[in-house]
Amino acid sequence: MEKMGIPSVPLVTRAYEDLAKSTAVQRGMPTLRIVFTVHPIWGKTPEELWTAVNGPDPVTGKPMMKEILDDLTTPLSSEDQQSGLLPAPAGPETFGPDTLDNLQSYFMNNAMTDYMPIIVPTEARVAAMLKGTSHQPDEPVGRAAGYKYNVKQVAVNAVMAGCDPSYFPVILAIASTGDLALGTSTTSFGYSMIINGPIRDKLSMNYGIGALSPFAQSNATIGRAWTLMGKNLGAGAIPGQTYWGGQGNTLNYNNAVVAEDEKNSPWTPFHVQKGFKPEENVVSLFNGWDIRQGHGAKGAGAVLPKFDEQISSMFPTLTRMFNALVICDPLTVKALVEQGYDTKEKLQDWLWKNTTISAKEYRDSFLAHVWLYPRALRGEEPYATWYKVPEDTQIPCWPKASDIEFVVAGGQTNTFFQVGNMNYVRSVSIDKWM
Amino acid sequence: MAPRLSTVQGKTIYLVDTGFLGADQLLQQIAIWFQKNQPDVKTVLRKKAGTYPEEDPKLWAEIKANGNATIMAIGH
Repeated sequence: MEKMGIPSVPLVTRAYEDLAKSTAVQRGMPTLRIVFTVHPIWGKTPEELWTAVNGPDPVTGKPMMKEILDDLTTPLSSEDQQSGLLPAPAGPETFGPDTLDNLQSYFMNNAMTDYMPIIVPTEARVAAMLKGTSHQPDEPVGRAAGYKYNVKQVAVNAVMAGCDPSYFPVILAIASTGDLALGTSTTSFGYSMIINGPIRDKLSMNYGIGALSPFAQSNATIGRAWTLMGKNLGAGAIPGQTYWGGQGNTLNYNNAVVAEDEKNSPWTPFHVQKGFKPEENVVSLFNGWDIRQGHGAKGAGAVLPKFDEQISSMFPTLTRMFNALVICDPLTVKALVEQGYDTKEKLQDWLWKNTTISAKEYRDSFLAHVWLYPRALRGEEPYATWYKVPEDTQIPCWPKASDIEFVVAGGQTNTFFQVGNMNYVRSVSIDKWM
Repeated sequence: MAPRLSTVQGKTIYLVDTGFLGADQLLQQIAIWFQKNQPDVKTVLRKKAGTYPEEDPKLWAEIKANGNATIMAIGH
């Protein structure tokens, strides 16, 4: 609007003050006149909203409507007419020297950790980590929330997490996406990743017994590094400022790191499905809300369990805002293959066609009005049809079969699976960062 | 940033709903506020197409052609 010559006031709930202001800076309008209102707006009655409209901006204290009118009519100052990015203070380059205990406290008290002891990033340790890549320390890696970061800054976080230098290319690949863990949303996002390729064995990643539990340094610390990067790169995940997850998410501690068991699976490895060669090393990122056990599926206790039906029974319980990531133990894959699903695609197709919900349930699902209804309004299919059909019409849980992803991991102690309500974000090469 | 209006009197202000929950209802109250307190301001309520981070070139063109200012809600 502003660039079109139309004076505008963005109205933002006070929960997003820091994010709104930093976004304005990123867009080259550091003094953009933002007005704030109460949080949340959602769920308030007309009377409560009327009170908010006639009340103060909770950030400035000024009467909200007067502030809006002033912002639309007060001439621009010379400061307002500046544009471009303002340099963000980066903080100190080095810390100490000090005792180990004092440095641990310093990092923790300045919200740079996950509140578990870190490996203090001494110059020697960071130098050792940097040997894990051929890329130069000052080479840019990525950006998040308007902040850029380089190889050395990523290395610091990898050291803190307890990574071995051999893990560093994986950490760099994750960092290069700008998709840092610990997003802003009030809905408390969780994150997961899949690792494919020979690097899994090179790093002694665990994809056997306890594949998702803390039984390998690589699995544990790669996931932890992703969280620490979310704290120390980008907007910093500061509760009440740039992190607003109402309840938080236990996945945030080290995210769900899944090294795929390519050897014990007859199915196509995940990264090959995404167009990579089998010998390539790839990390694939997901975001969403949770991962739940398949033990709760209907028919899970049957004498002759049918796993396609079990997986299907869990899908209606997932939200429509995120897709499905099904993590299958190799024994479960074997059972599914015996049922006729010798490829992931056959199972995706069956599940998509045979797992349905009513149109009403779809439209009533959390945030469907925000994310899915607008797509229906502009005629995008299948959303447009799903919002027109009678309420009791049965429709698929998701628009397409490929919204249901599969990965294989587990120690074959039993025929188990887990289902994540997770969106696939992207896959990136680890090899690029060797 | 765009030059500011000398006054809102007699002007058309677009109230743009970005699609996040509650935005439409908040803007309806703002429209009522203008009716009661600034009746010479014309407000036009519009819902932006697409999900809330997406652009809506058709609406932007309408505002450029017919509007003098916008109030856009809600950032969450």
